[in-house]
Amino acid sequence: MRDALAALPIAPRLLGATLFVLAALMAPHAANLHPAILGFFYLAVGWRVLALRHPRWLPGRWLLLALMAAAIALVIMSTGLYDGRLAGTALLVVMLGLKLLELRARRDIHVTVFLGYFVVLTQFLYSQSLGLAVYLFAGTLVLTAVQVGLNRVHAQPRQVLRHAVGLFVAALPLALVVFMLFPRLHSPLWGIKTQRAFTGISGEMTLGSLGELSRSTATAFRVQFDGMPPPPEQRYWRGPVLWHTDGRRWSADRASARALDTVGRDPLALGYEITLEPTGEYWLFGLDVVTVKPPGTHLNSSYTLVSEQRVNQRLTFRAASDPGFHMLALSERERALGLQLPDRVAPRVAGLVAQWQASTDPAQPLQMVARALDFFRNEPFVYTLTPGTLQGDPVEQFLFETRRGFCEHYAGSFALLMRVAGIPARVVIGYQGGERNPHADHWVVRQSDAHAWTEVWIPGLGWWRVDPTAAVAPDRIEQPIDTAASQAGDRVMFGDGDPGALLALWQNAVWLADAVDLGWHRWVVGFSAERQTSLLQWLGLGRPHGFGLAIALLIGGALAVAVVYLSARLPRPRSGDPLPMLWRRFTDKLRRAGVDVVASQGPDTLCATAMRMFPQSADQLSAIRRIYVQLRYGRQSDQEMVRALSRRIRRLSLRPAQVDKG
Amino acid sequence: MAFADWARVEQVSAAGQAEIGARRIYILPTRYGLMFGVLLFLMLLGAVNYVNNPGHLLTFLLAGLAANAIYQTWRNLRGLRLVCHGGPPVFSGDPVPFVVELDGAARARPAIQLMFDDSAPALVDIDDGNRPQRVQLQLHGIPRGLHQPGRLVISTCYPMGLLRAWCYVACDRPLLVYPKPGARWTPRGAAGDGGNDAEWGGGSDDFAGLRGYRPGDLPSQIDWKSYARERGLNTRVFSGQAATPLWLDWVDAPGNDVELRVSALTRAVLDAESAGRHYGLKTPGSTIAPGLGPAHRHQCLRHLALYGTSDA
Repeated sequence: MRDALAALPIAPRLLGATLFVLAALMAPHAANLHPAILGFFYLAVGWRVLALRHPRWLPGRWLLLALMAAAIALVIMSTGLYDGRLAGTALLVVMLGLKLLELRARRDIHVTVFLGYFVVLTQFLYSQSLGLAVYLFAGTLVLTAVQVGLNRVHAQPRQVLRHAVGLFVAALPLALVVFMLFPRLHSPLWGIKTQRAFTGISGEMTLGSLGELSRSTATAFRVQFDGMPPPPEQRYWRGPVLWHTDGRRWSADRASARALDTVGRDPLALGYEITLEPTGEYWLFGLDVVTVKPPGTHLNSSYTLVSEQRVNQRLTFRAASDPGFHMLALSERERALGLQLPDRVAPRVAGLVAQWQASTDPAQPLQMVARALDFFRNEPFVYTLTPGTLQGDPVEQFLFETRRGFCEHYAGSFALLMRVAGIPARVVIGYQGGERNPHADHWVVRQSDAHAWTEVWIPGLGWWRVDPTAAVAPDRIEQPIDTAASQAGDRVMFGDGDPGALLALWQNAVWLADAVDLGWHRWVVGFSAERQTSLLQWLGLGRPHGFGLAIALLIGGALAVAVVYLSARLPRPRSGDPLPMLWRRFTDKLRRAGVDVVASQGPDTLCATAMRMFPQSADQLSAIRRIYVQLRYGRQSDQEMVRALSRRIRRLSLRPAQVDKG
Repeated sequence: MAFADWARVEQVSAAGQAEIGARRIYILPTRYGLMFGVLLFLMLLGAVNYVNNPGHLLTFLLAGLAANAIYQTWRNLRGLRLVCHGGPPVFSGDPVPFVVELDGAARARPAIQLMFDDSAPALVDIDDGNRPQRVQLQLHGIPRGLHQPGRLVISTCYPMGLLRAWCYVACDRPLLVYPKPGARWTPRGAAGDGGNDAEWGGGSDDFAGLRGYRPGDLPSQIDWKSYARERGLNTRVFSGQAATPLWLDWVDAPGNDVELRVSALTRAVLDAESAGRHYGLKTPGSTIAPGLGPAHRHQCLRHLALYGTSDA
């Protein structure tokens, strides 16, 4: 079977477009790949571009082989082959570069276009942000246009691009149906190793660590509540619980990470859905206290929600919490841990506690809590992001000298004071607060909402949340920190001011982008097996598995295809003759200017009327009339003239005659 | 190709017209289509393994493109109208032209390929204007005689190149191929009064008079003087030609096999025609009375082309 197309020479423009779109699609890999790999690729592109003018500069077979060996060595050296994804991507990139250097026949461009599609996929393995996705899908569209151009004798860019858009639109319904119904796995087919640095709460707390984090306005997670959102004072997002302390540093208890399986369905619980930004850690955040856990997670004995896998990608999960839930249990081990003290407790600290103990009832530990909170409230403590460094015994120095601190200072020293007083206490880190997106029904919790608070164990009440920061800075609980204002100043500022109009506009745009981004994540990136199941249930398909899913896929696919082809058969307005449309535009303009347009009037009468009313525009009007009559009644229709008419109608300005007041 | 023997074939009407029907179109993936399938599978594997939803979406979008391409490629052929015009007779050894007129029926149909078994493929983009487009195919290596061009294969891979849709059209437009002219020779009676063998019909013949110009007359025999006097185009006729017709006889032709003689006689017909001499043709079993001019030439050449074939 002979193919005439294969023998046809390739238009240089098509070749240039191929190189351009591949270079553009590769660019985001700058964030992922070793510069040498990307450099190799772009050198190959540059070489090929030069060869568009000087075809003899293309490398011969031996040089290509040598380049291939060099490329493979480059891949091995730069990736070390540790990470299959990284090595695979690098190999694909250098091979595509080499393929460009032997781009001669139409077949070669076909192959590079296919490799280009694969490059888009590798981009998604590294980032799935909405902006990148829009960029990449646009690139894919151009790539398809190149492919369409390859299959024509004459390929005009606009024509080919328009056709590619049509093909995309027709392919979209089927793609979406398959996307929704294609079975999703709970876990990867084989292991994936990634190591990446994430911003967010770490598993321990050193004085100053959360304050550092609070300077970041990056999103920590987004929440969508099923019902009414909880009031601000209940918006504590529980993360790791810290037991061990040496006075300066607090850390989690590895041994106590025993799964708690007593919690089940809770009718009182408030349901919500969280979309968590990648943390690289195992724990998740939930509203204090989570009582209904999502699948694939467990609650440890400290009521921290723990995932079975590290959160290396954005994760959407559903949970439910009961803010009034009491954590009553206290094992002996927990009591010991909750009373653990650093090797040395400063005498001044011990003296302070002893002084309080003298004036309170030991059977009423809440009295002691109140005394400590009064201390923070009444002494001149300052809530600040820049507390300065603490030397010697940090707690002693903070409580008696500097008295400047962020939430970790207050939580850490309060827990220590309680332990000295014999009350089991622990530090909880997580987030506090959240801000509602006005354009969507979700809340955003930022890194600047990172918070540390304490829990003390009161007999009969169980673990009782005490937030000493609230005693010092009650606003902290009600309002988010204004990060920009706080960085310049000393005291932490809260964002309750009235922003200027321009700033409000900007904030509005930011919120809108946030809403779109969450939509992209919820419906595309985070479309999990659970979400798929709930969607299918919503559609009334129950919980299909295997065969049922295949049937649904078949029916849905057939429907999607039918929709496309039926809509393609609908009669479309003929785009053949632009003249009536232009004339209508012209008469509309005249009518707006006050000319009495009668449908039966011919162009001559109409223009004469208009020229009498607008003598200033007589030249323009007569030119329009002349061109229209030529086009309408003349023998040939000329694209150039149609454009000229369109331009003149657009530029026509009708100024009323100036009344001479002389 | 065994498949083509039982395949559905579009038949042309008596006027050579045909419209490609929906049920006559075959479609199969090209090797790019197979390659694309492998690519999609690998992409799906990657997307599934890395639990990557944008990757899923991309893969399904490309799969949707490929699925839609089946329809688009099929539609690029369906309803295409064509008229088989055939072509003028040519001499064996020359490429045989075959003209097909294509009408997109108000749809743009890019990259339509036409091909006979014996021809090089021709490729054309049909735009959505209503003017039919003429495509000339060149058939090669066809011996003398009357031939059906065979099945015309109309195919397209547009828009994605992943699939090839094709259909067969039986173009019932026989092509006449004259024999290949052999080496120049001098038939008996062709030479003039002697000596001047090479000069057919010799310049020394007596001028007999003028007759009206007939297409095919040699420019050298046109009476330009009378044309200049505005008496119209006339051809000079010489007495020798008119009086003694030249007989091109099978038995005189050099060569001892049928093809050589047919070639030799073909050459003689051409030479006699260009010399403007009346000539007749004698082959075993038939005789063509002397004459001159394109119609006569065609009659003789056709007779020679078909000599000994089943169409004779």
